[in-house]
Amino acid sequence: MNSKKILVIDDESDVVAYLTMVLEDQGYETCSAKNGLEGMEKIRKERPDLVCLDLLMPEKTGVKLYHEMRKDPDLKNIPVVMITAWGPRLYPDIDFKRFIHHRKVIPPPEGYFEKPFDREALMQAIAGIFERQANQPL
Amino acid sequence: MELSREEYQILFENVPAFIAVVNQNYIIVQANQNFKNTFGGDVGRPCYEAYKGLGQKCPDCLVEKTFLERKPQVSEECGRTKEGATIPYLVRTAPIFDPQGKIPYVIEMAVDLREKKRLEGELHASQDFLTQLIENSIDGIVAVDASGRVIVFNRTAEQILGYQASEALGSMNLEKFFPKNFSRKMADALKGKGEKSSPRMVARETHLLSKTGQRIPVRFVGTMLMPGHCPMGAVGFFQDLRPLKFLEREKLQAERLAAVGQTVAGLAHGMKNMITGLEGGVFAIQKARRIQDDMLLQKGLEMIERNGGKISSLVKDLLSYSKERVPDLRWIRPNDLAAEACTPFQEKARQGQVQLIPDFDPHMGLAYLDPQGIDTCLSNLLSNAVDACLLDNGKSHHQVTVRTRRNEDQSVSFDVEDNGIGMSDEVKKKLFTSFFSTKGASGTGLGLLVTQKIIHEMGGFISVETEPQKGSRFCITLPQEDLLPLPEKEETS
Repeated sequence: MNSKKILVIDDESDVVAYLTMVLEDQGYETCSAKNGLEGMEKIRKERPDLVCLDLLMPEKTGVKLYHEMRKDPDLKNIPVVMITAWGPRLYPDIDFKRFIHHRKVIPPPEGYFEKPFDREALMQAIAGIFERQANQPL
Repeated sequence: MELSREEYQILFENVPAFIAVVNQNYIIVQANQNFKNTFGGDVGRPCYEAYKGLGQKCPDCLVEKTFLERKPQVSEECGRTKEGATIPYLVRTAPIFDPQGKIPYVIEMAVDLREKKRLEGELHASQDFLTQLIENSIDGIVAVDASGRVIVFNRTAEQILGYQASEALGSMNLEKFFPKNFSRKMADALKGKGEKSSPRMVARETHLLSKTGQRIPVRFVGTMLMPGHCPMGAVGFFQDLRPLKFLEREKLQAERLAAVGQTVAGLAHGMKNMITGLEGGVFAIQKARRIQDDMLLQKGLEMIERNGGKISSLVKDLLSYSKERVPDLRWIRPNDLAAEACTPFQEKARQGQVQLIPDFDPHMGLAYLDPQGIDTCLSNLLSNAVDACLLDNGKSHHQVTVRTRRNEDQSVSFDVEDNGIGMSDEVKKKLFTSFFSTKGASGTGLGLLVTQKIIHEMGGFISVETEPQKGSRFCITLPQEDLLPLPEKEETS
């Protein structure tokens, strides 16, 4: 059984509830935060194995949190899957991954999903991330 | 003192009139210099020839009448100068009696009316010009004389107000044609009462009532006409603002739709969260059926209910915001409205330990407002206020005060004040300008925009005072026109 811990950060409680249910169904351990500030605290405290990150949040956006994570040597290797309402369907002209991946200095997230997300695809992506991690030489 | 013969002669020659003495055969026997200079009438010529260049006695001859009736006559005549120019004159005749009582001569004394006629002509031309000016003005013009009677009611006034000039002229009912408070001041000034300074009302946007009872928005300028200290009358100029108002509304509507277009992206964002919530609810229910978990089933149903409700509100707000709405005005009690608006929030406030405090003006009475619109606005403000308290962790006691006030100018104010989390300047700036929510996905972001729209449609305005960590106060003020008589008060339940 997986014992991976996943932190879900989203300001919408029903989205958190949904993701938590689905992840726990897959056997993951979960914790949550409702904005970027709280999210950063939880990341440092809980040391999750993966973060599911919403972007548009009060207090601190997911984008800011992501940049901070990548700049922090302690946190930069935690994989991040972005789950957000922004996306190519709404803004086809903007390459969002590029937008977040600021001037190619900050690496892109490990996953990027638009809401409403495809449950199966998301679980597969997360599973894939953990598998690749496991196969990496130390 | 009797005048000597010479003195009479001087008088005769120099008086500023034409004097001729004629005999029974209408022959001029004596004439003064003025007469001779003007008519060239030498002594010995018939008077009809001298005055008018006629070959025979004038029809209705004044001299003949004088001889016959033996008393003075007067008439306005038109003659011809010796140069052939037309000359109007006023002639007065008098019989000259001899000692026997017979009348051998009649004296004709005529005054040159050319100057008078010229001035009359100029005056008429000037009056015609002014009349044309008034009639062709694009402003409605209504003027009253010193007794308060309407003496000018131009074509444009007819068009705007629907009264014929014939119906308005002579009327003394000032409130029909002038805004109420100006007509009151005007009536006082015309009677010599009131302020010493001349009442003047400058470029006010107000309303006048048409003949059919329609409220016409106008820009009104009114002034007393007081060249000295005595009022001569008063005049009002008004400009029909309906075309302008129509364009204003169109522009606003266009701006609103543009804003809606812009916010669609933002709304789609909110909606995606709601859809995700719905899917979450469905997932929960499916799992609950699988594992026979009633609590999970309940949770799933709640998620569906909540998110379905949010989507519904969002769509309703969006429709509300993009549609132009005519306020449904009626006589209601604002205090009752405010009390009813509070009711749905009692439970939520109680659960969150927020005290709802009513503070209603005991002298409020009835007001002419749109109850549905006000309820929507108050609900929005109350919802925000209660949420602000729930989000605030800095205080032990939270309260939301709902205030109603009747202002001096009869306008009605509604206040919603909270001691919740307050707002920063940055947030305050964005409050009414675009889709914006500080509540993450729980607010639609349109609530305040819809509120503002409803208030503006009622001719009112909304303002906010706020301080971070201290709280906020939203104030709605709605005018109750004191410039226009409102419909008869009816108590509607």
